[in-house]
Amino acid sequence: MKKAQSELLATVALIGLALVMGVAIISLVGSTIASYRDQVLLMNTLNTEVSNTFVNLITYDNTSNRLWLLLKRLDGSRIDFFIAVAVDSQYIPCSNARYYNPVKDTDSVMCNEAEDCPAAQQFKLASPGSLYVPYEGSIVSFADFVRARNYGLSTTSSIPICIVKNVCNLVSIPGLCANNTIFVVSIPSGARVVRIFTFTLFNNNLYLVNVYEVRLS
Amino acid sequence: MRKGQGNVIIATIFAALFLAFVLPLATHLYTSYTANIKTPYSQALADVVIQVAQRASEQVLAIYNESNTVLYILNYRGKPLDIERLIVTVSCIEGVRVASLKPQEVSIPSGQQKALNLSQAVALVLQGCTKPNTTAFYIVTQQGTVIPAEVISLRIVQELQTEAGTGFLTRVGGGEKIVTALPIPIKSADQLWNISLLQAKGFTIATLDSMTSPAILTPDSTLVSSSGMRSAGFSWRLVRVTSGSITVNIGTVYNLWFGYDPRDTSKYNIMFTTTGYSPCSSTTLSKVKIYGFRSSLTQGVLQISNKWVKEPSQDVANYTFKNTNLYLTGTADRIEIYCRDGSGEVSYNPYTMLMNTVRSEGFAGLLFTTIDRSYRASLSSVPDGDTSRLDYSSKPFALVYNYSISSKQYTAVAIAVNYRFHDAEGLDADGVKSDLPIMLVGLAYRDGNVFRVYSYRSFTFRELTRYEDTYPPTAQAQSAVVFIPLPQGVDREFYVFIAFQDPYNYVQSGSYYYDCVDFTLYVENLSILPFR
Repeated sequence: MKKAQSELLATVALIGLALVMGVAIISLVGSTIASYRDQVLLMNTLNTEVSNTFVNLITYDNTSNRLWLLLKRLDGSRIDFFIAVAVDSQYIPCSNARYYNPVKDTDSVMCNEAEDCPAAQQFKLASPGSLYVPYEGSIVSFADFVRARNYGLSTTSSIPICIVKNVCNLVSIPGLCANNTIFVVSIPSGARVVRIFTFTLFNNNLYLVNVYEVRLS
Repeated sequence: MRKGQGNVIIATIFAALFLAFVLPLATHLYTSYTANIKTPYSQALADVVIQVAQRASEQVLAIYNESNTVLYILNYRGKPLDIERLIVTVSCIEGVRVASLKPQEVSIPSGQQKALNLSQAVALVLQGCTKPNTTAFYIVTQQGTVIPAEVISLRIVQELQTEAGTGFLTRVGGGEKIVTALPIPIKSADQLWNISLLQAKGFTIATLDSMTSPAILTPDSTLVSSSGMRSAGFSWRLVRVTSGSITVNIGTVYNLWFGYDPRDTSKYNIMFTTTGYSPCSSTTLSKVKIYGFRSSLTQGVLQISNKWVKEPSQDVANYTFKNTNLYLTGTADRIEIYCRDGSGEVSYNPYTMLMNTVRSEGFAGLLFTTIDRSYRASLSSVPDGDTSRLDYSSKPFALVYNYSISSKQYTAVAIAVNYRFHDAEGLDADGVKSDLPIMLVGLAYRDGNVFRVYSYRSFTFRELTRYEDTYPPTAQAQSAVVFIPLPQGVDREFYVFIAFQDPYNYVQSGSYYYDCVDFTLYVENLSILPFR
C-alpha cells in the first residue's frame, strides 16, 4: 500500500469517527435537553396553573345540603376543570357534582330544570399514587401529600376525577372568557369539612394545583 | 499534494464539524441550564387576593332590601366593581331556591353608590313560591370574588284596611302599617347562641352614652364579644361547648328560664343556674345554656320539683328561685357551660337568650337576665346571696332597627313594646336609693357614624317593679305605646331603638345594702307604627 493511500484511509476513518462521535453527542445532548425542557415546562405549567385556577365559595344551602362554589381560570382560556371532591374522609362520586349551564336556564333558578345543571363527568378513577403534587419544592405523590397534610383521607382507595365543563364552552362568547363557572356539590348531611382538589393535566398525568377547604361546622 | 497539507485538511474538517454541531449544542445546553424556571406573575391573582382583603375590611357595602327588591351597593375600594351575576337564595314553602340574576348595570365606579332595581328578575324567581323569604344574597364579581350582601326583611304584619260595610275610613291620618322589629325572624340555620345574630336581622348593636340623659348611640359590636357587663366579684366564663346527648340530674337548680327554640318549636331553649356543674368546681356558681333541646322522654320536657313540665310558661319568671331538683334527658344542638370564676368585663352573651314563650316558629324574643341565685327579703342581705354575684352593665345594650322613617313621609311614629320584667329585690322600690332606667325606647337619627337620640321614653326600676312580684315569682305582661311626633319641615331619617341595662351594682350603708337589683327582662315585641 502506498503512503498516500494509507493517509487517505486514515482520513476517511477519522472523518467517520468524527461523524459517529458528533451524532452520539447530538443525540445525548438532545435527549438531555428534551427531558430538561419537559421538566421546565412542567414546572412552568404548574406555576401558571397554581396562580391561574381558583375555587371560591358562594353559599351553603343546609336545607338541601348543597354547596355552591365557583371555579375560575384567570387566563381566560377555555380549558375544562379537573376536580375531585372529598367530604370528611370520603371522596364523593362525580354524579354529586353538577355545573350550572346558564344557556339552558329559563327561570333564573339554578339547577331546577332538566338540563340547566349537567352532572360532572368522570374523567378517570385514579389511584392516589398516580396523581402528583408539587409540594415543598419537589413533585410528590398525592398519597404522600394527603398523608403529609393529615387530611384523614384514604391513601389507597381510588379517587374519582371529575370534569367540570368551563362555562365558556357552554356559552358562545367571543374572545377570552372572563366568566366564572358555577358548580354545586351535593354532600351528605352532617358533613364537617369539604375539600375541592383542582388538577391540571400534563403529559397525560394529573397534577394537583389547588385545594379549597370549606368548613361547615 | 505535499505532505502536511492532508493533515491541515483533516484538521479543518474536524474543526468545521466541531464548530457546526458540537459547539452550538454545548452552548445551548449551557444557556438552557442557566436559564431559571420562569415564575409568572399574575396580576389577576393579585387582584383576587386584594379583593379578599378588601372584603374583610368591608370596602364594598351591599344591602338587599327584600321588601322593594332593591340592591344598594356602595363601592369605595378605589376601583370599579364589575358584577358578573347575583346569587340569591330564597326559602319558599316548596323548598329552597338558589337563583342567578343578571343585573342591568354591571359596573359600579369607585366612590359611587348604586341602587339596582331587581324587581323583574326577582319576580321570575318567585313564581310559584309560597311565603318567599330571602335568606342570602351574594354578588359575584368578574374577578371571581363573592361579596355577601346584608338582607333586610321587613315583615308587614298587618295592613290596616277600611272597615268593610261601616263606611269608616280607619286609615285616614292613621297608621299605615306595622313593622315588627321584635320578635326577630329566625331561620333554621341561624346561630341563636350569639346575639350578634341580631346584626344579621336588621339591627345595629350600639351603646348609649347615658341612660339617664341619653344623647348619642354609638355602634359597638364588642357588646356581643367582650364588653358591657361587669360584676362585683367573679364574672361568667364560658368553659365548655358541646352538643348531642345531655342528661341533667341535679339536686338544686336555683333558677331556670325556658322557651321554645324559634328555629324549630318541637325543641326548647333552656338556661339554668346551679352550683358545681361539671366542669365548674364543686363550689362554683354555674350557668348552663341548652339550645335546641329535645327530650327523649314522653312525659315532658323537663322535671322540676319532681313535676313534669310539658311546655314553657308565658311567664318567664315561672321557674325562678326554685331551689329544687331538676331532671332532663335528651339531645341538644348546643350546650354551653359557664362557670362564675372569670375576671373582668364580659359581653352580654352569658346574660341573654333568644327564645320564644309562645309556640310561634321562626320568631324569637330577647331574654336578658342578671339573676343568678336567689332573691332577698331584707336590707341586710343582698340578692343572689352575695355581693360578688351582683351583675351590672358597664355599657347599656342598645339595638337600632335599620328601618328608616322619613320625616318627609311621616308625621309621627308610635312604638309599641311588649315585655315582662321580674327582679330579685324583695323590697321592690324600697330597696333602691336611686331610681334608674332599665329600658329605653325611642327614635334616633344618623349623624355620621353615630345615631343621635331624638326622643325617647324611659322605663325605670320603680315603674317596672310595680307590676311584678319577686316571690312567688311573677312577671306580669306589660306593654307601652310610645308616641313620638316627627319634626316637620326637616328632612330626616329616623330609626327606632331599644336599649336596656342593669344599672345597679350595690351601695352599702352600715349593715344595709341598697341599689343591688338583679333582674330578668324579656322583650316579646317591638313594633313600629309610622303615621302619615
